[in-house]
Amino acid sequence: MTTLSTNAIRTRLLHKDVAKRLVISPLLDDKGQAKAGNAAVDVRLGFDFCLVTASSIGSISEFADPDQQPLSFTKLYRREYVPFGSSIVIHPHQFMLAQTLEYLRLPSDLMAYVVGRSTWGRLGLIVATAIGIHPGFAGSLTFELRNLGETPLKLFPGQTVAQLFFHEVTDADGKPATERAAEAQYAGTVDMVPKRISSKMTHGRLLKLIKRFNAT
Amino acid sequence: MAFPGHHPGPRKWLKFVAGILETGRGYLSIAAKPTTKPQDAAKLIQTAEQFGGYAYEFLQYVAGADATQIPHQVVAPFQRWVDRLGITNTIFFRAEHLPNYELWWLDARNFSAAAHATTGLTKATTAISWPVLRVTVPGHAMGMLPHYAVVGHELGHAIQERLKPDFTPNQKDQSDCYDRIETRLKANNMTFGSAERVRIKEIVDNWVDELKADAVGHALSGPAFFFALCGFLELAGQGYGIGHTHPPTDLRRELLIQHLSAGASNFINVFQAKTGLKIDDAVNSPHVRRCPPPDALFTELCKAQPKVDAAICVELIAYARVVAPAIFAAADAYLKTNCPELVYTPEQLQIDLGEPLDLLCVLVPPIEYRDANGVHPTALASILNIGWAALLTRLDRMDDPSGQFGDPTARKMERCHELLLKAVELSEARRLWEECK
Repeated sequence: MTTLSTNAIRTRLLHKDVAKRLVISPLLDDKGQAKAGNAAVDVRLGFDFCLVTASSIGSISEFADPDQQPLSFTKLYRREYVPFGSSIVIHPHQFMLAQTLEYLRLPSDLMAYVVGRSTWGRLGLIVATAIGIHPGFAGSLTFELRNLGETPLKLFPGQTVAQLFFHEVTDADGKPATERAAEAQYAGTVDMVPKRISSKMTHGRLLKLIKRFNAT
Repeated sequence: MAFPGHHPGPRKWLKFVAGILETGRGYLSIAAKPTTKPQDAAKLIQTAEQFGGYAYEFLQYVAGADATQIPHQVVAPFQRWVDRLGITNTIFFRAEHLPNYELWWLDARNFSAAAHATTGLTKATTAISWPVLRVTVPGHAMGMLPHYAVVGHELGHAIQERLKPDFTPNQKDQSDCYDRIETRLKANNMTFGSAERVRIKEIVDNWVDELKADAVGHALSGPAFFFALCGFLELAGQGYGIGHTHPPTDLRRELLIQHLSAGASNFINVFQAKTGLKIDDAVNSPHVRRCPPPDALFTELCKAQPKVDAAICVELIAYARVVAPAIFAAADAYLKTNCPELVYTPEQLQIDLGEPLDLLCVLVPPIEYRDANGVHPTALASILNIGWAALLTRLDRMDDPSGQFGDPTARKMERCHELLLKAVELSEARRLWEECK
């Protein structure tokens, strides 16, 4: 698997063919965020945060009431908008969702990994747990922030908190992949709230299994 | 309560409200002093009660201005329009869940002249540039981003006094109009005197102000304003839209189409060349009711409004059509002289409906654009036009968001709205970043 150098990433950012272009926008400091000689692009903290609040809906179960599940996901979070120049504090052991300031779109022959920056890691901040980004993804990346340290951390929108490593994706014949995920759950999404836990097929099978083994 | 960005309007207003409450409490404190005579205390308590009442009333005015109600992303770009238009009044934007765009003025500076006004109230009053302006837009499901081009019309009202159309070539048209009104009134056994002349002037002024505001909206965002205004009038309007405050909707639409098609390289030609869609009165507002011939219109209007107003409105239509070019020319001249970078042009539309529109169809919001001089944030007017072009001509090419409920077209529109909001938010982020170099 080939990892793109910063120069290769820059070339893909300027690709004339829209379909093959890698989009990371806005790159507020392109030289600073994509340093020559490296193999990654730094991404910044955006303006919207979702704080998990104590809830009256009980446990999260996709089988509790399938029709209502998206609503209960929404109820899990309290949204907080933090503009440039303001901050939000993540307390020890607190969990919250955040977004990249950058909007990202991957062409069909690139995938990426999002990795927390070491400096933040040393302060106790875990940035991302679902780190793989598939070809064809379009949207703002969601960070799953958790402060594992013992000190509250003040987070400012615009701070660089993570980096993206890009890899080429090839087809079976070794050529650049041309097929992107047609039904990617989060393609084009700018929202952080999860939409579903399982695919329709998995959901249906699991539901049947639950009914089969829990029938009275 | 979080207000969008660092927008100062709502905060200044809240400080003013706090100052009024504080002053009311001050009156109560004086009333409670043992040295205050009972009859004076009663008056002071009454005054305190009035201050309390005003404070709560004024507090309501800011409802809908917080970031959970109005899409917070749009406020800073609107404020840039305000600043570049030279509007120095304290302003805030708020949303309500109604199909309503409105510019509202309030001058409450006299409160600081109260006998026992506190320092807080005096300071808050001084910090406000009066009169305060409040712009209302529809919120939540009624607030699709491209529709916000109508805000240009409301800001046009804020500068309407500065636009000076030259009606001297239209004096004969004016006297003809007055003659027609007189004839119609007399034919209906009504008099035509000074009261009617005053009423004509009031209605003419109202209509001219509306057309000035339309002209400013058109200058700020071109076709996006046309689509947004006509779509809104079709949705919100009942009847023909004609009355003592507004000219009829079909006339306003007709005048906008005229100005969109003015010149060799015009908006209509560019839009059609880039999207295949010809802008006409069937686009986005096909159900606007057209005014019938004058006699039939007069009969209909008389059912709902005074005959004098009905006669004036019916006969003003022809006059408004004749003077409209002068109004649009005055708006264009003012904006091109004072804030030329705000005037949206067919050349810019040509650029916007090229790659940025193609990118939106593959889910990339028009956040910034690259030219020979580097990368620049996309202007609000460009985002609005790209949005309308996508909504009207490209929804079939956009992916249907999977895993969500509802009608596929509605889902795509919702996604388009979200991507455009993202574009507005992030283009503003780039702008702020560059301003802090």
